[in-house]
Amino acid sequence: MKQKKMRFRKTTIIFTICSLFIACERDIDLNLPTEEVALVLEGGLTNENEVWQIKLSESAPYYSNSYPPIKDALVMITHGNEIDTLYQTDPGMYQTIDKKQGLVGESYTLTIKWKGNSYTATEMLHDQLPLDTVAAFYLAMDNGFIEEGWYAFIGADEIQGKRDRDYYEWKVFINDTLYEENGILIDTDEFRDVGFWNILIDPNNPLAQQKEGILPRPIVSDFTEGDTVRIEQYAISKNYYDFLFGLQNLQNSGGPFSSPASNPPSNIVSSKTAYGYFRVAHKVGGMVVIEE
Amino acid sequence: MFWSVAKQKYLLDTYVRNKFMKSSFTFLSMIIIQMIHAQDFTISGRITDAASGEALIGVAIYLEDASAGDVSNEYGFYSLSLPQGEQKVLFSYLGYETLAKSINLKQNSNINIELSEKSAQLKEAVVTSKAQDRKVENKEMSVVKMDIETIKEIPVVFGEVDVIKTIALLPGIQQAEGSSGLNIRGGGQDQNLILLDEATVYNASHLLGFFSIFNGDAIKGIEVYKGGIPAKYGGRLASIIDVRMKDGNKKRFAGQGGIGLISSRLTLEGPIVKDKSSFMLSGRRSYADVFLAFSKDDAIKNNTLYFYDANLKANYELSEQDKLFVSGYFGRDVFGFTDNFRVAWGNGTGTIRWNHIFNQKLFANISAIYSNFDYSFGIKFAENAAFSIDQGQEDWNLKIDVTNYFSSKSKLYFGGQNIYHTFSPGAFRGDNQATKDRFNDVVIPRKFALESALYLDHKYKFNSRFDVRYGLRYSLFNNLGKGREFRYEYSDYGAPIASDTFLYKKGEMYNYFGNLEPRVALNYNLNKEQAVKASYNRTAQYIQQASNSANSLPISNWFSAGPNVNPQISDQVAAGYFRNFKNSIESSVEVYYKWMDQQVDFRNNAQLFFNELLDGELLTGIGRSYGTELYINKYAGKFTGFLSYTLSKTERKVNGINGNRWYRTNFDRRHNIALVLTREVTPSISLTGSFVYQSNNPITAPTASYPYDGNTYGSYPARNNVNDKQLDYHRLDLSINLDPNKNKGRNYKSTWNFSFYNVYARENAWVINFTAEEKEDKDGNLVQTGRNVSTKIVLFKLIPSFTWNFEF
Repeated sequence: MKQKKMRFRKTTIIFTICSLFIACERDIDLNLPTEEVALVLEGGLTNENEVWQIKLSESAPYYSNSYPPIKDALVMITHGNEIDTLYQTDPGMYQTIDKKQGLVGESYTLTIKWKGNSYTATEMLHDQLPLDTVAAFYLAMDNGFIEEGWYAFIGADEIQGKRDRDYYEWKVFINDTLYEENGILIDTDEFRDVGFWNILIDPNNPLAQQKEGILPRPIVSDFTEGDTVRIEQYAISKNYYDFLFGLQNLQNSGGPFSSPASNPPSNIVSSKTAYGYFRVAHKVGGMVVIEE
Repeated sequence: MFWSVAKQKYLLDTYVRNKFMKSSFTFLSMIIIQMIHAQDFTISGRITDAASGEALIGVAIYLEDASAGDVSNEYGFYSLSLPQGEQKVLFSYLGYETLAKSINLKQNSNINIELSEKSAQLKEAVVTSKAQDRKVENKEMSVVKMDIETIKEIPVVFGEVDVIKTIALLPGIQQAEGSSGLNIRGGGQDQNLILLDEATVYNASHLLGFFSIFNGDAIKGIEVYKGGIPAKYGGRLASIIDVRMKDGNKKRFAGQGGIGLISSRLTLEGPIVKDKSSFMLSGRRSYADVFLAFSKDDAIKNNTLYFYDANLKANYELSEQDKLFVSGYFGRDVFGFTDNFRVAWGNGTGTIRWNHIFNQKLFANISAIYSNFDYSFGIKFAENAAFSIDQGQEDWNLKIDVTNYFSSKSKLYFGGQNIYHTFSPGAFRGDNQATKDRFNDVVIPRKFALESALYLDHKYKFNSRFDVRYGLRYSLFNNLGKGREFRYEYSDYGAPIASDTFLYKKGEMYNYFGNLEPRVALNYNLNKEQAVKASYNRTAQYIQQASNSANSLPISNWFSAGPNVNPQISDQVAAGYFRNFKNSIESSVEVYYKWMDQQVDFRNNAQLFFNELLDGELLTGIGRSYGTELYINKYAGKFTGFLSYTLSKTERKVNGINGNRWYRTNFDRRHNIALVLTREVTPSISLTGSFVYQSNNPITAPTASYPYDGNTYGSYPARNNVNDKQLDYHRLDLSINLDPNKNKGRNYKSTWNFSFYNVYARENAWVINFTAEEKEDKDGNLVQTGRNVSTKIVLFKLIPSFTWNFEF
């Protein structure tokens, strides 16, 4: 079986040009200021029937890599008159007693009380249409960007006429393991009339069959034959998109030409500093097995 | 509401403007009439180099008793009104023999002067009495000048002569390594007006800033105004960087060139009609891509990477009173990665100038100027999916400058200009028909504006001790149709949303700004060796670059003031003490304070590239900058060189950044020291050493870290919040210039330059990156180790280079 590395070549222009001149790269330990320990929030809910989970931990100095769990918080999710108090399963992991389903168009509010401070975050559940297609094709091209190999494509329609903008996040699982090498996968139709994803893919010619400004969006990955690829597509809010975009910028930041780093806009409201996001998203998914 | 108020303001201001224009024209015509009736004995003419016929700028013309004096202008023209009778006039210029001319003045006379360069032997001996050309009173404060001969002696990276890099050694001017942008007295890189033969150069960098676009062989000299900016100049807040091309040799055909590590160059010049007109042609090309071809890696082999530039200039003497100059520049950088990826950018400028001497007291120049910068980014996914993004800007500029030499005490400068700007913020197009058939073009509409100015500037000498130069510039900026503008609302998280769109017809003036910019400079001579000076200037800036990174990329396009963007305003006061010692040392101390209003920054995560709603992403604030500059220059003797030291502070306060508190700019370095020494070992060997120290600049660094979705991230609550001694920058460069003795008997000259950049290989940080540490696992995949680290990238360690130069 032929095994190929399939991912975008990370060579960017600037990097190549600079590499002609750069003498070296060195670790340097700087004397960085520290700040008070802050709350870090991860997790949320979706439209699927599942246990709602919130993970709380403490921030740490930059060079530290240990984030102690927050074990003494009170965590509640409010939806209209309905209030769910989450209980702690593992240290720092809070969840609802029952499986629950988020409703499209409804807003959910998370309230956390910790060390005498209150943190709230409100987010609405956006809807979307299901994925029509998840398909995988072998692309033989090598044009400096896409290496030869297997690519997965998704096809879906967008809800027309309802909103001006739609925002999406994807998660890719290979054989049920989250594939993280691409970092955060997000996109929006903000700059295009039609989204990348609402296409009907011609399996024989995935690139050439696109009409009127539509390119298929390949999910780039280390796929090999026999892999089961599962793709989850999340409809997210503009603010969560901006938050993820901000995180993406932080991952790629650095370099003389990048904008100054800044914290992404969170939906957490508090008089205290807090990091993370209360995530409310609409999830659809699809699967494909890679085979010749 | 917003719009109707703007409209009323517009109508009112149109009325005021018309009145202002009318009255200023009346005033101007009155001056012209007055001047025609003036009755003084005046000597005037042009001053040129005896060997090449090149016009000499800034030659001191004065009476022996120093009761009257002036300097030649940028075309070598001078005019001096003197009392009737026998007069001994001296013409003095650094590096040239001083000429003393006895004139029996009975009428106005036209006297053209040729000055000869001092011969090598004389250069050392005749320094004693010739301090006059560096007279303290002739020095304008906050102005730095450098001639190309000095620039060529100072070592630079890869031995590539670079006027911009060398000028950064002077006080008040800062430059980060690997950048062609300058930060002058706390100003941003886009707050400098860079002029090449009067044409605006929008991006002065080659190879992303490692080199500047100015080819040393084609340049006569450079002059930088960092304060006390004369009313003649405007359009940028911080400085005017005035680069002048050589006119070309009027006496004989000559050439020079060189072969260096990065590029080769050739300049040819000569008379078209002997003593009357000449031409200069100069070209330069880099050849890094030539080396790429030797690479074993196919991907590298198929890459292209080069820059080139060409300068040309010609002048023609239409009559004794009329002279015509045509000059142009064209340069380009091209990077290509296989045939799938291409980035190219470049400047093009053209200037046509007509000098007219109305009479001995009235000199005028009219210039028609074109200037262009464009950037293009091409990407090819497939034959039928090939795209390019193009952006740029273009100026057409008509400019009139008149000097009226009323008397030896009084000199009036006046004139005006009109610049028609076209901004092309971006066009996304298919590169071929197959692509066009499948994809629609996306074009952000172009924007148009007219930037006009009128100025009056009067220099008056009360007595031999005290003189004053004061002026007023009125600048006016009109946004013109065809175009569209937006009104913005902001989401809860600060993102702009266009809530209204306004469309304007072609040529419609839909928005405007006007600013009065007063300028004053005072000079008081304590005695022949000492002077104190003071100045104030207000400057306004209507166009700026969309960039918030430490270095501007060519993709950072320029955008103009408009309904959502106010013009930037700056006020600067400066004072200085100038002193000369022993006819071979000049020194000065200056202090300045600068207030800046409507400074532009962008909201966090703003989309700066290809965004029609760019002006909705803006944040504005104020800035302040202050400092002290010390300069000591030993310009004669076997040992020459200079020391410059700047102690300064620069801060901004922008709503929406750093919690609305003051923050230091990323080019705020407290101490800047440069020491340059040249020692002539033998007549044919000279050594130059240059040492630079810049204390660290602040960086935006994380104060905490946190996990999210399996990764860790740094927290950046503040802008430019960290200083670290480890980030101090210093470096020593050395160069050896060899001018072998055997050159003397030949009609050609062959010289060598060997240089060593960063002699002790200091690992200066170019960039600090904060990243999650990654290691390769056994399969060769990059895996995060879970540790957060900071790394520095070092750009240049010890770089030896050599250049062979020739001249004939």
